[in-house]
Amino acid sequence: MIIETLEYLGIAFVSSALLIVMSKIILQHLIRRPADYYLAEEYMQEELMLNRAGFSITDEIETNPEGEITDEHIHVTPKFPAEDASADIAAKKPEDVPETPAVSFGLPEASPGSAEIPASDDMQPGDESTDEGGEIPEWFEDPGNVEFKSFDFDEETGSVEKSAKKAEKKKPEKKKTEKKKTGKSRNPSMKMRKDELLAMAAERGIKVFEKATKKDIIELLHKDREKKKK
Amino acid sequence: MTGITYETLKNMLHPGIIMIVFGILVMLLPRPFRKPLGLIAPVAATWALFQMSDNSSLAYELAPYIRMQFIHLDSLSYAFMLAFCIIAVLNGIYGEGIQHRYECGMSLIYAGSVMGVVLAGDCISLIIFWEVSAFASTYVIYAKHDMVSARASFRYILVHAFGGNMLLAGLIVYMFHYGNRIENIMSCYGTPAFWLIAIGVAVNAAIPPLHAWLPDAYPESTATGTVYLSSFTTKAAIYLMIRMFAGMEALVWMGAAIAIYAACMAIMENGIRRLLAYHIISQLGMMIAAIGAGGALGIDGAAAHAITNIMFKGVLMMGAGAVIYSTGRSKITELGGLAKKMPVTAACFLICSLAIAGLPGLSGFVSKALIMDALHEGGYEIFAIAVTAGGVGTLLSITLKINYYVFFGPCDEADIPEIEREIPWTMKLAMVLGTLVTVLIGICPSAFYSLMPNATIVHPYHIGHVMEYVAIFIGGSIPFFLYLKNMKPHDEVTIDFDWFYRKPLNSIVMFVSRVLYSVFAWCDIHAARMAGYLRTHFGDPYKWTQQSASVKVRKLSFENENRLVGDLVSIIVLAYVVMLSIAANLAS
Repeated sequence: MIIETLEYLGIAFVSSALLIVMSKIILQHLIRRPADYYLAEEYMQEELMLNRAGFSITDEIETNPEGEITDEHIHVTPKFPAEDASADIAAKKPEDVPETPAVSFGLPEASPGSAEIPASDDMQPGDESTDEGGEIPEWFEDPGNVEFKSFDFDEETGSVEKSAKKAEKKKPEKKKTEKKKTGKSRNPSMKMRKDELLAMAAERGIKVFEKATKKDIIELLHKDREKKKK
Repeated sequence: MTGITYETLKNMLHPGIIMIVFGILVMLLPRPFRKPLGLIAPVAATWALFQMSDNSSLAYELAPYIRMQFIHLDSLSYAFMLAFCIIAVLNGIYGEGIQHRYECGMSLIYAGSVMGVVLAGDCISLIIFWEVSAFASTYVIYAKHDMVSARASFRYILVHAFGGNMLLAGLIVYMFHYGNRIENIMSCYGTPAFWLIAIGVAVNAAIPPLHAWLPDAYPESTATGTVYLSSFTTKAAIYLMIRMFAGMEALVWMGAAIAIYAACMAIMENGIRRLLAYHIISQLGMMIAAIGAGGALGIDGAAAHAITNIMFKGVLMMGAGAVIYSTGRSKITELGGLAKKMPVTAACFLICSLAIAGLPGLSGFVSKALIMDALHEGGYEIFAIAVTAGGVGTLLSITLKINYYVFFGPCDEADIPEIEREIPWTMKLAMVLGTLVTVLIGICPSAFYSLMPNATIVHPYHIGHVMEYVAIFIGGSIPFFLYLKNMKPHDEVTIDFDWFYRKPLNSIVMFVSRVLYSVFAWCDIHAARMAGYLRTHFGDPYKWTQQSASVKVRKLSFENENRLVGDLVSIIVLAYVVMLSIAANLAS
C-alpha cells in the first residue's frame, strides 16, 4: 500500500510539473496573444456597422442643425473599406456618378477620389431624382466648407475593381490627413491607447473606473453616443 | 375507472414539456405572474419525474411503422433526469429576480428540451428536442445583449447547426437501415450513419477539435445562463454517447488526451469562467474514457461523473457568476482576496473545487473511483495514468489557481476589488444547497451508486484508495508552490481552434461578400443601361413608326391625325371585345 501511495505521489508530482512546464513555458509562447487580439477586430467591425447604420456626419449635423460644423461633427476615421464605397457608387447609373461626392468637411488636404464617407445613403440605385438634380440631401444644399470631389469611375467597364484599386492606391494619403486631423474627433477603437480613450471619456463627462479596460471604456463611449443620439 | 384515468394521465406527464410550456408562459405573462414561474417550472418538472414509472409513455404514431416515443424511462435516463431537475431547481433559486423575461423563458425551454433529449425513446423525438435545445441555448448565450455575447452566440449557432445537421443526416440513414429506436450503434461501426451521428454528438460533447465553441460561448452569457449552459448541453451529449457508443475503444485514448489537453489550456487561462469552461471539457474527457472502457463499471462511471459534474460544476459556475455579478470583473488578474468580502461564495467554491479534484469525502472522489476502476479493469493502465494527470491539471488550475489568486491568496487591501452590489440571498442559498448535495454524495456513495444504470457496488473508502488521492493532492500541489511565480496569470488570451473560424473564416466571408457585392453592382449597372437603351429605342412607338424606312409603316403614324379618331377606334374595339365576351358567356 505504501509503495502504491508513493507511486501515485510520484505520478502526481511529475505530471503536475510537466503540465506546468508545458502550459506555462512552452505553449505560452506559441498560443498566447494580447488580451484584445479578437476584440480589436470585432470592435472595428462594430464601428463599421455603426457608421453604416447612420453614425455618419449627416446624423451629427441633423442633431445640431443650427450649430456650426466643427471637427467634432466629423468622423475623420471611417473604417469601411474603399471597395465598399466604390461599390456603392458603382451601383448607381454611370451618369449619376460624377455628382456623387467624396466629402471632406473642412479638410482641404483630402485627396480627390478618396471615399471618406459613403457615397450617400439617400441615393439608391436607379434613383431618378438625381437625373434632374432634385432631392439632394439637405446638408448638400449649403455646403459651406464642404468640398465636392468627383469619384473616379470607369464608365467603360463599370468594374468595381478598377475604382477600388485607385481608392486603395490613395489610401496612404488619406491616412496622413487622418493623422493630422484626429484627436477628439476620432471614433473610439481598440487601436487607440487607453489614455486617449480615457481623455475622450473625460471630455464627454463619462465617469470611468480606474481599472476599466479599453473594452469597457469603448462600450461606455458607444452607449453615451447612442444616448445623445436618442 | 377514475384511478386508471389518473394513472394514464400521470404516466403521460413529461417533465421536459412541462418546462417548455412554463418557459413560453414566462415570455407571455405579465411580470407579477411570470416572476415565480422560473422556480415553479423546475419544481413541477421534478414532481412529474417522481410520478413517472417504467410504464410511463407518451407516444404518437407519425406514420405506419414510425412511432414517436417521447418518454422512455430507464435507470440511465432517470439518473440524468434527476440531476437535471435538481440543477434546474437550484438555477431557479439562483436566478430568482436577476433574470429578465426572455432569458428566463428561453432557459426553461432549453432545460426542458434537453430533458426531452434524455427521455426520447426514438430518433425523431430526439432530433426535435436536440434542435430546440440548440436554438434556445443560443438565446441564453445572447441574453447578455452586448456585442461580444452576440458574436459568440452567432458562432455558437453556426457550429451547432452544423452538428445538428450531421446528427439529423446520420439518424435518417440509421433509421432507414436499422429502425427508429435509440440503441448502441457499435454494430454499424464504419457506416456513414455511424460517422455522421458520431460527428453530430461530438460537436455537442465538445470533443477537440470540435470543442472551441464551448470556451468561446459559455463565458459570454449571463451569470445564470452560464450555469444552465454548463449543466445541460454537454451532459446530454454524454448521455447519448453512453447510449450509443459504449465500448468503443478509441474513446479511451481520446478521452485521456482530451483530459490533459483541456487541463493545459485551463492552466493558461485568465478569465475565470473561460477557465471553468475548459474544465468542463477536461472532465468530459474522463467521462469519454470511461464510456470507451465500457462494461457496467465504465457506463456507471461515466454516468456518475456526469451527474456529480452537473452539481459541482454548477456551483463553481454560480460562484464565478456571483463574483462577476458583485465586482463586475471576470479576469483573475483583476481579482484577489475576495474570501474576506464574499465568505459564503468562497467557501462553496472551495468545497466544490476540492470535489472536482477528487478529495475524499466529496462527490468527485466517489465518481472518479468508478472511472479509475473501469480503466484498471479494462487493462488501460497507461490511460488511467493519463486521466490521473488530467485530474492533477484540474487540481492545479481550479483548486489551487483560482482559490489562491481570487479568494484566499495574499492580496493588499487596496487591490481587493470593491463590491459594487451585494449578491442576493437567493444566489447564496443556491450555492449552499448545491454544495450540500456535493457533500452528501461524497458521504453516502452507496445510495448514489444505487441510482446508476447498473447499480455497481464499489467501496471507494478503503484505505489504499484514499491514500492514493491524498498522494495525488500532495504530489500535485508541490510544483504549484515551487513555481508560484510562473503560475501567476497574465492578461492575455490563448488562441485555440476557434481561431480558425474567427480569423481566416471571417476574412473568407468578407472576401466572398465583397465579390458578390461587386457582381451585384455590375449586374445593377448593366440592367440600368439596358433599361435606358430600351426606353430610348422602344419607349415612343410614334417615333419608331416615323423613323421606319417603309412608307406603309410611316403612314400608320397617328401623329398628325385628330386624336379623337384614335380614341373612337379604341372604344369601338373595346365595346366589340365586351360584347363578344358576353355572348361567349351566354352561349356557355
